[in-house]
Amino acid sequence: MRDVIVVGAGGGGAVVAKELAERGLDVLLLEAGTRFPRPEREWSHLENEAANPATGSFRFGRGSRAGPPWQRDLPQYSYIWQTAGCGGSTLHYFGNSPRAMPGVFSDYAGDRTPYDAHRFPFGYRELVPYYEWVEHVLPVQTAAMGSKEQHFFRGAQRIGLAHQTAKDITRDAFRPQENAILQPRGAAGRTNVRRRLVYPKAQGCTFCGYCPLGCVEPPGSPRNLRAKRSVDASYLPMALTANRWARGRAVTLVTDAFVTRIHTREEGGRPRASGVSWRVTRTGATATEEAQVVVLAAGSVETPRLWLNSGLPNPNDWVGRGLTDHWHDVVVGRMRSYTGTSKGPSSAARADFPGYGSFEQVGLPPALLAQTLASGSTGMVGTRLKSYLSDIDRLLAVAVLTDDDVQPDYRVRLSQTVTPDPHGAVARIELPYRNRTPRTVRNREFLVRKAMELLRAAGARDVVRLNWAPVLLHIHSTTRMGESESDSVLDANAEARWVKRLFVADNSALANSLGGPNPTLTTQALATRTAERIAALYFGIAPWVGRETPVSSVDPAVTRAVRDARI
Amino acid sequence: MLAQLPDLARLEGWLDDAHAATPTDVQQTFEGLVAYVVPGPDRYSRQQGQRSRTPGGVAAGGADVLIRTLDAFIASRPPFSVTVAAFLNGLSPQRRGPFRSRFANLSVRQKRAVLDALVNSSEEGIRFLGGNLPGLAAFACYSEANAFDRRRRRLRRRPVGWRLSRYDGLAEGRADLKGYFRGRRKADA
Repeated sequence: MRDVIVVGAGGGGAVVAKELAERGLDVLLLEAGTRFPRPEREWSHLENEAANPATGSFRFGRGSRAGPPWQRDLPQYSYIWQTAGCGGSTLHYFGNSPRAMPGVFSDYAGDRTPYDAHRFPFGYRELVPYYEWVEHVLPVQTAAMGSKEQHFFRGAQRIGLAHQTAKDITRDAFRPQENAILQPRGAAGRTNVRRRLVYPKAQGCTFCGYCPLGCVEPPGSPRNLRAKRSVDASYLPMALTANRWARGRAVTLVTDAFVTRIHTREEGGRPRASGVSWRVTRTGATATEEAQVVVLAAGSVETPRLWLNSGLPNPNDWVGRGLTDHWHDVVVGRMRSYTGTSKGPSSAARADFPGYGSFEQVGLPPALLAQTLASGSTGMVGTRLKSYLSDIDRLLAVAVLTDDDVQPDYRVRLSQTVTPDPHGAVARIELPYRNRTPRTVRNREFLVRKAMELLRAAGARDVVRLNWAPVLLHIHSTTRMGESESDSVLDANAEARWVKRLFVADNSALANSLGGPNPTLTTQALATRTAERIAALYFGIAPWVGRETPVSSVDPAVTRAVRDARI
Repeated sequence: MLAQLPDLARLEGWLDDAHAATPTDVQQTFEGLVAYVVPGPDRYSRQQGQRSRTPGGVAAGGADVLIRTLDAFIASRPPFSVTVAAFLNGLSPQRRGPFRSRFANLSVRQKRAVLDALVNSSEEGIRFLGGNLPGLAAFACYSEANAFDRRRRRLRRRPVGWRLSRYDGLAEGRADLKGYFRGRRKADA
């Protein structure tokens, strides 16, 4: 029997696995996708190779790219971008790592009126040490500027926004992103000549512009020193070598293992998690293991799907409900001068508006930008699209991240219309997007207006709002923790209210949409706190956050361990 | 959901046409779609009444990429692209033109009406499909897909979408570092 089984090696699961392995627990980490052991060969800077939803290396499907991707039931015009594989959606994320708005936590002493009433069941101040821990481990650093950020900052200053210099969000303000991206050093960001960019001549972000296609920069760097700190370059290498850089126990990683069932047994008259079964996607074989504790971290769509397919209790019918997605929109301006929007980190500047949400500058290579521009109710096609894209490096794009309300009819459930796949009934994602709350609608309109104002102030010749249909990039709160037992699935420890020893450690555990900021850092801080709770509740291990100094994933000891283990 | 689209097309009587469709019919339908999203100097763009002097989606090979993507997205019989073409043609009014595909003969305004009809369909799968087709077509036209030799893992030529967007092309890094805003390399604690 294992101590802990973690389902999913993405942004949250890898964190729990590393933290518990570092404490010496026997952790089995199961991942439905593949491992990508040689990303330099397996990934590509070419957009169709990486991001094609059916055939790209970052699709939601088998890592071999054989056969169709795994299906979801999307009953409306919407698009979902999640990746199966070690690293999960952190493989294609931008590395943006802001903290959540303090107003969405239970201890907020200010005016609560502007915020969603579905708060976290504990205080912001309690989470801060966990933020600091993760910010050190990844690490999170202040983003460097390129041309597009210079434009963004110019616009932000001209519309009178304040410059935020601290990590905590307290007022309307702009700032460079706090990114899980190593700052450029040496030749990085100063040349496009490959031989000058080989590690260690270049270290950190080389400004290649391919964040959504996976980071393999700088060329020749050890896996744990890749510029973008996806968990495949940070937490996962640490988990797999916890016996080398710490007095821990290396995690056992099994890939191509699609978990199909959570097992329970009665204990004290209540169900408790006892193990999992999975299907080997390459062969169709099945396997089962038992554990003292099971942690779900399969993502905000697959976690509730697995819960429901396992027939686990759902007495208040909130499993899968309350999906929040930041109801993104995109605003694009054509600038008079060079912006370099296809270069540099995909997002290195942002502005936050407590009670409304956030927006951030976004840069993409041409195919993903074309897809962005052509999507939405006012999306561009024809000569207008060609005209807009006639010089990619004179565009400036801003993505809106709405502070959207938890609503019960935004949900993941089991599809009754799509034929089940070998892993059970598939997930159906329902987004009745004409039924947003007045607060959510107001917030999105406010942010769009502000973003358009900023682009004009930055010198845009013209500005277009795309009014995006639901594009699911940030998905949260589908097995939410909450203050009330009536509308939440998890308690304040992220443990299931009705199944002991079952925890959730991905975005679905979040209580709400965080007030607008990008979710990964908060999920990772919460996953660290959850790991600590698991260790204390079921293994008698004393808490460590705030008491010990964390080891960074770029520490020389980790680099040695990664090299020795040939990871 | 998408797997049920052939059944829906069959209900409308469109799938019989789809089964009878030649590869040319399907190809023409998607050429008509990529010309709508990214027009060029080609005959599909001329037929729709909106063209452009620079190469468009047809020259970029966007139709081939889109067909391959749709066929890979879901395993179905007939191939998924044939079903999608059946929807586009089935919703298209008759209009005189040189193509066997009804959709390819339409004007820009009529093509938009067909895509709007898909997005506003009462059938869930059709809404999903119709909404995402323009974005996927744009992605296909501006990507490297039709200029990439997957076996040798190298580009055969500069992709049309890169020329259209004046994209610099592949590089491991770029010389665009401008330092740190107000010289601050670290946030306050």
